[in-house]
Amino acid sequence: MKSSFAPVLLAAAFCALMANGLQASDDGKDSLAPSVTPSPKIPISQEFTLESSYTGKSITKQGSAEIGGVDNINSHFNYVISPQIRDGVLLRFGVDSERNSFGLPPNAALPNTLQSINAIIGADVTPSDKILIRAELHPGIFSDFVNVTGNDFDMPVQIGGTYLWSKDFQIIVGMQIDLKSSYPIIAVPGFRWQIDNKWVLSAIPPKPQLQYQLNNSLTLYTGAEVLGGTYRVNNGFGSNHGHITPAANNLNGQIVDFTEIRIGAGFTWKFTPNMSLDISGGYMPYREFDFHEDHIGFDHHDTIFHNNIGDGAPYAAIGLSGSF
Amino acid sequence: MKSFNFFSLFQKSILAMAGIVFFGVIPLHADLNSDLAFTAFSNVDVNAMAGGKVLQERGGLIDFMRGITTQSLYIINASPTQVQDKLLHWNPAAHSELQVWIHKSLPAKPTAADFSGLQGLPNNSSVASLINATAKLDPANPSLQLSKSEAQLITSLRSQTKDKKALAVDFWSQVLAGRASHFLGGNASADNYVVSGGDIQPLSEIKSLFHTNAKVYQQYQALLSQTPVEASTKATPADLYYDSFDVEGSAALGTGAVYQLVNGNSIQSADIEYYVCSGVYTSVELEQLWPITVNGKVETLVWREDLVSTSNVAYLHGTERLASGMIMLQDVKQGIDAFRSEFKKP
Repeated sequence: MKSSFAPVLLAAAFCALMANGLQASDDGKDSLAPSVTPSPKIPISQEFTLESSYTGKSITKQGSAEIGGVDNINSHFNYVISPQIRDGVLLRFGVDSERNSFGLPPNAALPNTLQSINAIIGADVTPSDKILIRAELHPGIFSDFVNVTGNDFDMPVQIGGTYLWSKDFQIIVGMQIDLKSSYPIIAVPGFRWQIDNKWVLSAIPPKPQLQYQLNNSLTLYTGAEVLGGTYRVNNGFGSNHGHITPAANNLNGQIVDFTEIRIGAGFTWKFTPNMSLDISGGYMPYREFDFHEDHIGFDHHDTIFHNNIGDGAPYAAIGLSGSF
Repeated sequence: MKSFNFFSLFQKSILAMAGIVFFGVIPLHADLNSDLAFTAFSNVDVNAMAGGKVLQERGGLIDFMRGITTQSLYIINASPTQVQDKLLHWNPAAHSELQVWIHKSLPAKPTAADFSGLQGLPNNSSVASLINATAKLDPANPSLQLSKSEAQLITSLRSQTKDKKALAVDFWSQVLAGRASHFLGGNASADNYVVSGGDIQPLSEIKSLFHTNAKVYQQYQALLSQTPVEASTKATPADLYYDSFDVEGSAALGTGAVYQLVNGNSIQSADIEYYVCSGVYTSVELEQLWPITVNGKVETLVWREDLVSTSNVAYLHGTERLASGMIMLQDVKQGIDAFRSEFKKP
């Protein structure tokens, strides 16, 4: 009654696996005695991501006043260990660190670093055979890392749900709760559509992509990416940058929502079954530093630094990821 | 795919009503939970199954890195002997959604000539991919799942045949016939696939799959002891077949054997695909059939387990592995729907 065994492999494609390599092993089971079946151990998986990118200088303005060119070196590291405590439930523990290091014009009222280092505490659960849910807390320090205080502590919450409509189409909803952001709750929908054996439309924020699988180890893509985060600048930031009056523009100890939007193309090379190299490049059309007071709720964006559309800059990125 | 899922939603509403309507579902044996004790199911809602519902469970945490399993439980509106017969004689290639290109039975001792049906493989991109891969096969480093000696065959055949499809038919007829002969003769333990990093023994993969669930293995001990999976036996299978199906855009070729056994009031079936040329190392499909009375008519309660060994699964971790099991459930359900539809035909 055999039908097709494609599902397992399609699942592999869906999961952006590290697959295709082979590892032969003799499981040492020459006998079929039922008593020898061992109790399954708790499976523990690990994953990591190491990324770095450079975005060139883009002319940045405060309102309509030009303050000069700003560039950015972004570095990101992420490591998660994930024990499967029972069928359908995986815990997630890890660490995540991201640094934006800006090249600034003289006297610009912008931080030269926006950085985070945080723990990851979460879980993946499967409430049904078609739904996967991931929930993570990210407690840590999100700041310019000058005179770090307890006020720099933040704990964004990320919740994502995937509905497996079919092996070719999945619906995704992601939500982030960050009470320090001017948008404390953001929810975004997305989907992943395996158009055919070569093409995938992965319309999943913050990195929507149209992907083409050239062969088993090389995937080309074009798409967009949104870099961003919410950070607190130090209590003397405004004083040191001449931004303490009027009161509405006092940047001392304020929150800055940083956003960088990129569009580009690249490729992912799965050079071993467990490891991938990602290289991309393109154009950064818009970057924004949105300062507002440190309180919960939407703010009226007292001070925004940004570049005009068209005054963006090219970027290049490289990343290494793996799972074991 | 969308239409299929809309159908599923519609079907669910029908099932909700069926749960009210079908009160007359009675197992023909004393204790259903006792019968299902070796499965992942207990305290099942037979009314819902009588209305068409398929219960499914992922295999969960198994101790075999290349293995993935699922279990399903459902009712077919036919007697167990009819279902038993259909398991042997249905043609999944008649259901286009399954992307099975060919499925044909073989004689008890097949030769290469018995695989002539390969000439009837459809002209599609999936089959073309296999034909091209065969034509370009490097005997020293085969990209398809072959032993060294099997891969060497291509060299001599290339000198005899220039037509790519004819070459593929000749080559695979001999490979499949050889694998079938080894398996039926109890010599499959020496068969392997040359892969990077070492060899894969399909028979060892099958054994490892059986080892993933001691309860199921114990339940099938009597049947499996009659198969060449245990090298001491050379029982004749109820059916021997070869098939071709799509795996990620390329056709795979395989050969397998179905063994069946009456076990008390139930019938057991084991479909062992001991050779596949790409994508999947091996697969096993187990079924157990019990009579069950639905509104005064004897129908069949079917328990099914699908066990697959594939390289891709070995590198699935955490949530990826969960997701693969969930997607496999959907595909198995598609196969079950196709199989059940066979009983609705006039």
